[in-house]
Amino acid sequence: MSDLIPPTSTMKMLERSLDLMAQRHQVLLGNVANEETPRFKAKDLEFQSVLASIGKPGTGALPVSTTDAAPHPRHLPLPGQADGTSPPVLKELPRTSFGLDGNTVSIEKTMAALHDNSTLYSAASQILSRKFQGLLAAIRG
Amino acid sequence: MEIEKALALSASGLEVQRRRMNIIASNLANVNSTKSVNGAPYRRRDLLIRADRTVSQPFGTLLNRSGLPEPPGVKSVKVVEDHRPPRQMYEPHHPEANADGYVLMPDINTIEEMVNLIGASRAYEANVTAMTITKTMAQRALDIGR
Repeated sequence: MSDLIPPTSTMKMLERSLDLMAQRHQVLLGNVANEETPRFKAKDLEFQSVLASIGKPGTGALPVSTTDAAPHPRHLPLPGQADGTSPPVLKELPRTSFGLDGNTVSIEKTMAALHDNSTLYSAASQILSRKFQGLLAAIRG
Repeated sequence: MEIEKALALSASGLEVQRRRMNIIASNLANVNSTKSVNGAPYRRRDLLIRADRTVSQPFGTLLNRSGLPEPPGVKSVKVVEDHRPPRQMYEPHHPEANADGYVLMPDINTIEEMVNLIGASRAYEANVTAMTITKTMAQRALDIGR
């Protein structure tokens, strides 16, 4: 029953996915804006590992507190985020065209990724919405 | 979802592409301009563009918790003149003809300009589409809990 009290783990997962998808959206927008910029390197945000690490044991809701602002060099490294999940990876996309200006943006792939990402965003936001609706139904009876 | 930042990114793309289209239009309009303001034949112009991280507000940068580098927008650096020498056309009756009967004309290839114009126009459209997607996503975020 305790898993019904918000924020549940599913809600946290959805919230984090929405956050990451919004970040990825901006990275993709940067690619679209720089479609014709010479020497621009196309980028994408990979966050599958972040979402995969959310459900794992040991990555609880409580952030790990450190005694120093800068961690001691001999301490074991902590994963990047406050909630113990690994940070998303910004990676450069491989070159697809052979233009002479050194630009690696493939506009077709970028637009496809934009639509793909926004569809997933809509899906996640709708599921989150349903979660709240279900909760409301439980409260009102 | 930092919607202002996302829209500012796409807006920077729109602005640069619109400027490019203006410059291409000017090149096309001056295909036969034998004199420009400095007295020499018109020279074809081009826009120098560069990726730019200062599109969004610096305050927003401070609040950026993720620690990832900001995705860059785009900005126009300056308008550059092409260095191609003018074409020589044999038109002895032209008022600007030299002693040998040649007139100096700008070396503008209309096909090249049209190709660039279509490229700029498509890039503009891509940014408009991206902006529409941003707005849809923002709307979805507002619909949570409705």
